Amino acid sequence: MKARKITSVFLSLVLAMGLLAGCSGGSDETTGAAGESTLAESGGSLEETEAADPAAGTVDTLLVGTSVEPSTLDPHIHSNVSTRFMLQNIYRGLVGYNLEGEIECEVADSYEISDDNLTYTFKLKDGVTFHDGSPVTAADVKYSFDRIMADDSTATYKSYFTDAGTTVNVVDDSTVEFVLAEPCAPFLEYLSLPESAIISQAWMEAGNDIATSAMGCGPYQFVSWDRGLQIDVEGYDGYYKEGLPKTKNISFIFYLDETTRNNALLSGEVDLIDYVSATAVTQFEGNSDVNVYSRQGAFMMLEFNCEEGSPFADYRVRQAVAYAIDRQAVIDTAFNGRGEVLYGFPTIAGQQGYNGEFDNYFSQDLEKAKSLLAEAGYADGFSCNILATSDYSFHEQTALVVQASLAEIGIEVTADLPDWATIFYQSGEVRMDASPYFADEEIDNLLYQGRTTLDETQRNEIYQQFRERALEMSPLVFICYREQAFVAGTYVQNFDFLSGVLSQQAGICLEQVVVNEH
Amino acid sequence: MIKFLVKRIATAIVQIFVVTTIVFFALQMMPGDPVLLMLSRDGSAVDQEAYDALEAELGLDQPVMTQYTNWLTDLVHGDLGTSYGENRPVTEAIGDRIPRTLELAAVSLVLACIIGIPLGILSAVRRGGFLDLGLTLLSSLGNSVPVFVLGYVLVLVFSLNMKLLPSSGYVPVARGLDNHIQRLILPAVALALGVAASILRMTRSSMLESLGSESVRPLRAKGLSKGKVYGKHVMRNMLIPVVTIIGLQLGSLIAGTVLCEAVFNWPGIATLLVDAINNRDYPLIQGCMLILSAIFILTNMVVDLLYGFLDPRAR
Repeated sequence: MKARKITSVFLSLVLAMGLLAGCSGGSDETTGAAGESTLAESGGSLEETEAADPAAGTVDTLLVGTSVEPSTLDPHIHSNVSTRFMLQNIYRGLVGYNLEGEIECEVADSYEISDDNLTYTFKLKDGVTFHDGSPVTAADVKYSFDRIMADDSTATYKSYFTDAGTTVNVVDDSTVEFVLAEPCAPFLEYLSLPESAIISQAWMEAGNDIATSAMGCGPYQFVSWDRGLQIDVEGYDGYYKEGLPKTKNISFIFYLDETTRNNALLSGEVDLIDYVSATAVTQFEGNSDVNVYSRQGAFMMLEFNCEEGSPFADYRVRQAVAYAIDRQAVIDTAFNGRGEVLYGFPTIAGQQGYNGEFDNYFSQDLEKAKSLLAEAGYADGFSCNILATSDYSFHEQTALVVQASLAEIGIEVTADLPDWATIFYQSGEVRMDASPYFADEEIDNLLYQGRTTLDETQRNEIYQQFRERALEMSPLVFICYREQAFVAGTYVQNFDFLSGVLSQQAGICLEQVVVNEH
Repeated sequence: MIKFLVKRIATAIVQIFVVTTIVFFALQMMPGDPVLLMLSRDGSAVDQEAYDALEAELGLDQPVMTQYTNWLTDLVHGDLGTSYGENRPVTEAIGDRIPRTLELAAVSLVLACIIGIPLGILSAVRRGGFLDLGLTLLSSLGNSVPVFVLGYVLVLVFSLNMKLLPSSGYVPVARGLDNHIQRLILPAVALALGVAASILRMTRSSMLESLGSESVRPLRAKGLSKGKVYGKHVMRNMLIPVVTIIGLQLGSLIAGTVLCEAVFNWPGIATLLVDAINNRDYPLIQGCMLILSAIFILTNMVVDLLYGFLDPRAR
């Protein structure tokens, strides 16, 4: 691997996409002009003509300003949240989350889980078709998951399925079963990931390029990708949900520059924009022409290089860091005061049996931090590097606040802030998906038990033990939640999304969005 | 004349070669790894086998010199390679984008000339007057305000406040000429004003120089009308430095498109290049740099040739 040998001790700061399942509900209705909703619902069936009918008072195209241009349209790869937002309209899986945060059937009509929890049998809905009109069969489902699990697969969640020892069998044309080598409690959640999309075997075998084109069974079909400009999708008449999608066309227009994206919404070039920064949200909130949809989103955290010989190999040093960081300062500096401090573990109370017990496990306590450092033999401090990126100002500012906080307990931090592409190179062999070289048998054991224990009460207990152990060992130091925000014109109706991890699945709601005349 | 032409063309080719070579080796020194980026955008762990396979597929496992000679050989055959990110030939990707950038640059340049030359002449003719003073002030301002600041100001005034023009975007001509032109106006103006300011100043000073020159004064004394002296003799002398400045401004115009395209979301080659750099898409970066430097060098060459045509002493 083309990588520089890491000689310096470093902490790396990354944006975490928490993998602990999402919470439900809680999001308030933010529909705009509610009085005008004589639309869609009344009609019942929504043929393509209705959307174009001026009498209905709606516009047939939703213009979305997205913050990235996809690098690939492959639905099995999660390249970024904006691409996912778009692909969720084209592809669907067997099951998926609804807007209440519950898992419900999509392409599947029903499913059964065997008593030993090793076999999941899915019955497919009648008449579900791909956008070329061909039926979605059990063979397509098998083909999709075999592709995800193939040896040369680059699917993002490949290991989720291979680790569970999944085999997919076609029972008959409309029945498919997943056989696992050992029980896997979150298996349905895996299947609900947008990256568990069903693709067409026939279309793939005809030599089509799934990276630049698309063939799914979702509410919208792929029309064109004008490079550097936009991706257009068009409502699919044969979609399995009656009356959906409500808006005939969606154009995803790439607006990479944030200010330009915000201006495009204000001047009416687009109807909806994603990734609105905390500063811009504050400005938009005073504007009566737009609705701000803001939810608690991802969280910020620190990872450590725990290589033998590094000060961070000692859990007391990591705990000292956790006690030293001024989290409110991070929120004030990097997120314009919008966010929520995280002094415990990023599980929201009510989720997976969490009762909020560890919410204040840490606090900002410099004396305690210093004594922990002294205990670990670093009474005089040490120096290290922090790696973040200057591509995103909130990453940079978070790193700088951490730098200032650690200076107070005698840790001299040099901030290393290259562009996003260089970050990976600088971290080299050390990858960012977990604190490298950190190993703890107890944590591994608890995680394994959690995955394989199916009794919910028992499982919640295991996860509670896991959270406590994780905080004690502090391989990751959690800093704060940041918000995920979309802004739309007030004439855009029915847009909604969930908070927490599911804020990254906002694409599911576009099928019911209505654009009023404006 | 032929010898002059051949010499200039040969120099241009050598210049392009040198630039692309420098770009190639500079890329090798740039931190970042396209293979890692392609396999994992978020920095999560990468399977070593997948890494090796992709590295071999892209030819990045070869020694740098082999990669360089391969690239040169392909280049001679008109093949710029395949973009990692766009998954298609670089020539195709650039072919989609370059007309948009050239359109923006050409419209800006024409606009800059239309604004700059007449105002420059006016300023010279009314030397010392209030008009001259005002124009000199404006041109200093136009020269010193960066494109992106001017761009945002134009958006704020004409788009957000007055709601006259769209704030950004690009609509292909096929989807409506009026929509296309509406979105061209603001970026073209933003880009043109700085260039117009330079042209104005150059026109003014060279007009003044020409007016005061010994070859011109006797013409008036000889009894030629003011219009004839200005139109025929002064203009011709004045044009040489103006042509030069227009040629030189093309460089800053192309540099300006990078910011202008970003501010106005104009999908030209500059935004393509920036994306390519962010993705460490080596073939695409090299392709873009080759085309951009070729445009720059070739326009300079054309300016040189024009210069030689206007002023035989320069041949």
